[in-house]
Amino acid sequence: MTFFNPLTQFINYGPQHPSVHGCLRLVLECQNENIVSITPHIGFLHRGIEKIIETKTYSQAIPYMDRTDYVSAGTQEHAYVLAVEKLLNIVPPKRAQFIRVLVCELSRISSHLIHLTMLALDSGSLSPFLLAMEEREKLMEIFEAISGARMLLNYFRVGGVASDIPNEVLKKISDWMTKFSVRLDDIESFLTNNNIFKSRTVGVGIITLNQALEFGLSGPNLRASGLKWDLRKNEPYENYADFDFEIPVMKIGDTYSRYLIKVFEMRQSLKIIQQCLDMPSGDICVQDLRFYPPQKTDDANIIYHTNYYRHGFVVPKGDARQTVESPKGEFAIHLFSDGTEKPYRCRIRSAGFSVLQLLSSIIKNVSELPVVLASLDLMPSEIDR
Amino acid sequence: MLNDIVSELQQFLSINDVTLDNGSVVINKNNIVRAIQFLKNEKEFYQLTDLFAVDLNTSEQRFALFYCLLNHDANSRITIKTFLEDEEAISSISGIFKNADFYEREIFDMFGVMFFNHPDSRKILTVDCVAPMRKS
Repeated sequence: MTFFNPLTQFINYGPQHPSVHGCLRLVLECQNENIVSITPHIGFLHRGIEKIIETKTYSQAIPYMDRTDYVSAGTQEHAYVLAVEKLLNIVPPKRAQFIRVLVCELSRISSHLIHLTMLALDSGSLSPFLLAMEEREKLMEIFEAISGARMLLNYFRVGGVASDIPNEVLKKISDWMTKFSVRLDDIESFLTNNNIFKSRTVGVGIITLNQALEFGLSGPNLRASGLKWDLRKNEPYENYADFDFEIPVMKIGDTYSRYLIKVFEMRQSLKIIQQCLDMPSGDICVQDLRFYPPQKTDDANIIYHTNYYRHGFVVPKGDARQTVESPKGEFAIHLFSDGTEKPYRCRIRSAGFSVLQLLSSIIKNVSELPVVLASLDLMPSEIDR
Repeated sequence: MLNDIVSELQQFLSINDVTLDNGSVVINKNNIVRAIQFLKNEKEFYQLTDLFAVDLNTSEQRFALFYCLLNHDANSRITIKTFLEDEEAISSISGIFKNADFYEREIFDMFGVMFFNHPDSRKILTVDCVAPMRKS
């Protein structure tokens, strides 16, 4: 404990501050405008998901994955079902893999749109917000057509997906894509070459590569700091190895390069979605009645429903870890099975958790705090789990 | 790859302290700081991706701690596992990896496992629960 400095002020930033986007409390130790230290206080959105999952069967736990990071539900569910499949040693059919990649990339765009608009809002620009939210609304309609839900999809199943994508929806996605790539140019035209936006972001909140590694950064934040590391390429899961896309990398690691990475990534996601659209026909789940999710035509078969949703299936003893590239960074599920139909322990590794510790070292001024905070793409519900 | 690292760790520590179990390296809890220091400095595992505990709820080994390290250049991951008894403390590795700080606080909060030399040993996610993730 240092001596009390009369110039030092303690400021509570959050938990209800509009620019923390969720529930996150930061205690700032300030001297005039300069920040001496930032102490994050988290746990406002802690729901004990890891503990709840221990009391649920393997398929009942899937909706909880949506709630970790609710703006990109697809990637979270993906990590979980892949981990269970690793334990069961099953591989979903080709069409299911394409559908999963499609939903994951749509989720990634949805998450990046939120991030982009929040960054724009916090740096004082309202127009990108209005444009992007309109696009996101259309994206939600697509999600609704695919899964029946707008945000919390609950669409992935162990061994496949819950239902097939009709061809009309694929047509809808392809129509949306052509409009969206133009709209993305519009959104970019407000920000990329905008002098006000650049003056607030270029050279602000620089994270060096050493810091990024030291504090466990991953995903877009790490790539903005200069390391070409994307789990879709480096540790390919599902059928990402078959797709042709590029990994954008920046060097400086400031707020502006984190923004650019997100824009580039959305374009690459569009490229992946384009390749997904001509997916092979076939089954959507492994041909095994233990895993095949009940379809709408099976409604009368109560025993089948009960078996699937209530009793679940037995998973062999062991542990499996699946790491996926979520929009926020590296998201991992580590499952421990004791040979029953419920997981013994489910560890959720969220991307934002270790990023919080970095704040003190990169933010030196109160005025740059909201912008840098928005650029790091923190999601309190994912951090607290 | 993993076998090479295990044999080098066995030379560095002692042959009884390091074993390979189901894809993860089991290290005696007294040597965990030295082993992780070795992996970071000599084997270029520059990132700690995860650190978490599992309550095994058996009488001889109460907790298992998992340290997940990542080497970006070699594209390899390693999982270090160590076992603790109930009410037993372990040295903090926050001096080696700065982001271990929050992970260790989370383990302390969720399981009640104490860490020696931890810079800021407070609860992190909950306020008034006592080790909610413990079994029984």
